[in-house]
Amino acid sequence: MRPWHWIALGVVGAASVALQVLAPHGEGGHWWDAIPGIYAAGAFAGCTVLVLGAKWLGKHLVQRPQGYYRVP
Amino acid sequence: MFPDGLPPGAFLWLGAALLPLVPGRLRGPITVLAPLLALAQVWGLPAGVHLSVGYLGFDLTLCQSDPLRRVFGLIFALIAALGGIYSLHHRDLGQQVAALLYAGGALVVTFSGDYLTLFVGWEVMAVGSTCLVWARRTPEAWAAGFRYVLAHLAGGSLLLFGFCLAAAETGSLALTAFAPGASGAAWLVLAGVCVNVALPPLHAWLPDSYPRATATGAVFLSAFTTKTAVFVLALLFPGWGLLVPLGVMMTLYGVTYAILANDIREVLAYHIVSQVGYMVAAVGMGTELALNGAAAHAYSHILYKALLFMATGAVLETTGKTHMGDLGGLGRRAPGVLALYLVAAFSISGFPLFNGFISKSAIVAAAAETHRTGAFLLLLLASVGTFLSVGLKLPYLTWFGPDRGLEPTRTPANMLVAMGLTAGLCLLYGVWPDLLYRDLPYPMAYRPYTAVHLAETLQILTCTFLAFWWLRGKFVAERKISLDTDWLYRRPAAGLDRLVVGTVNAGFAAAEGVALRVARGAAALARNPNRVRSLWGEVPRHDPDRHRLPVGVSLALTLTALLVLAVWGLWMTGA
Repeated sequence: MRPWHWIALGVVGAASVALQVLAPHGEGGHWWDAIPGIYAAGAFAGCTVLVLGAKWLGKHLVQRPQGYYRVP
Repeated sequence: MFPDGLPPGAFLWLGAALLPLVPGRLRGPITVLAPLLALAQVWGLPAGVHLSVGYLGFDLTLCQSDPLRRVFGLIFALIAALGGIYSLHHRDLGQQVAALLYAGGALVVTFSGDYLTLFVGWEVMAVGSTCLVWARRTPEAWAAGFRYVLAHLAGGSLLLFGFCLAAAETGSLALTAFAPGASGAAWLVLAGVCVNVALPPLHAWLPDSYPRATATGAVFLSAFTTKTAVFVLALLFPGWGLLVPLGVMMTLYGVTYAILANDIREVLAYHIVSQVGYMVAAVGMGTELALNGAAAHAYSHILYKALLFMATGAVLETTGKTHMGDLGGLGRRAPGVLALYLVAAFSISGFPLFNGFISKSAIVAAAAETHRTGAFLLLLLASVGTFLSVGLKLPYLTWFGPDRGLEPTRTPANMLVAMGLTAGLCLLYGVWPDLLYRDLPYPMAYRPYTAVHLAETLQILTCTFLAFWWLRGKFVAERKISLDTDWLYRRPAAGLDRLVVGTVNAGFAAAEGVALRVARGAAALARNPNRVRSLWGEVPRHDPDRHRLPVGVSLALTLTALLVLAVWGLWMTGA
């Protein structure tokens, strides 16, 4: 990742939060829609939970060596 | 354009029948032309029943159209044509025939109006798709193909049993929606459809077989089986509330296993389970927006998933590798394939201006509209997982990761053309949603490009990227497999083989040994009847001249028997 990549990412993130705050919310939305950056925080937390949860599951329950099903 | 009642699937089946009869150079064009003719037929087919015949006192509807059938028929015919272009460089007659049979089966199912026609198309699909798995001709593909066909035969049997019960209850074979929880027949049909829709725990055939199919076969596989099942769900089970939690579970199950997968096509296979989960949940919601969302997402999904399998198929075709531990650094050597892959990855991840954005969001909006807050949040979480695996992990480890020094061969031009056309469609529908929305079953008032929705999507995408970058050290390709529900039949297979087949074989071997010993003894006794005297202790010395009866004795016995028969015959006839 080069510096301008991070700058572009920051601009897009900031613009999305600004858009969320400034855009009119129609009917049928949720109460949390008014919290700035709520979807950003949710995505970061959700992604972390998914990765760590899947890796834990893999290590402790489901992952096996490649030849596991080969008949000895 | 064509006779009004001709079922669109007939073009593909006729094409499949024609292929072995024409010179090799004409076969490729036929695999493209037949789906294009079917596409033209679907396009011009008005709503209504177009062909029905009587059979054993029942009415079979071989061709029926309505808006739901039309939208599925359009995309099935379109993707069959694009798959045909992608496969043009191959000269494998078996694969070409199997692909046309398979795609034709999907169209037969789509335009069927009765249980029997649907079932015939369903089973032809199973045969064609199995052949596409076997066509790889590796031991793994053979074994996976057998598991695949067994799963589909079991599912087909449930479907047939359910259809028979439903026909017995109603006295009709006509396809009509089941009321939620209506009858045992409905549950059996639902179970059969759930096998093909890859609902966990009945899904293991999918990630087991698709990564082992040929590069071209996987493109067809990704398009038809699960989406035909979604069509049947939408036709027969709209509004079955049970499907909502099951669909949501599918979305998260698929993304979790995709994070663990180490083969590029296994990642995509698990994401079929995940994406089809959105459609299953939408069918369960049952509102007009949700059913439109299911149809639209099936349409979008077929395009971008085919493109994903096309791009990863190009990697397989040009490097011979699909394990992410063997790949890396391909971006500089195959930038075109990378760019086309990214179009599909952005589409499945729901980037604005790509077709996944306009269809997935309709389903999420339907969840909000029906006040299913839990489903709404979990579907958003699944979309995070989708971008994570397909949009970030897979390209990172394949095209951007450590350079493994691979030198891919040149990608065939027809593959690039097919990928380019499919990518163009992903963008076209993303930029111009009404092009798809106007073909959906119900009027579509939903607008995806609102400021709130754009803000929500951009926040999710940017922060998913940040989390991925933070945790990227966790994404290392490992030489491991992930156990799935196929463990239940694969792991005990060797023991079951010994128990069931081994025991029976041992029984047969023992019986054969006894029979041989008896036969040998009888033969020896026939040669020397005097041996029977050995039973009471005598040890006879066999002298053929003394103990064997003269030929005249047997001749006299034969003549006597004939004489008795002749006298008996004359007496019976009263002569």
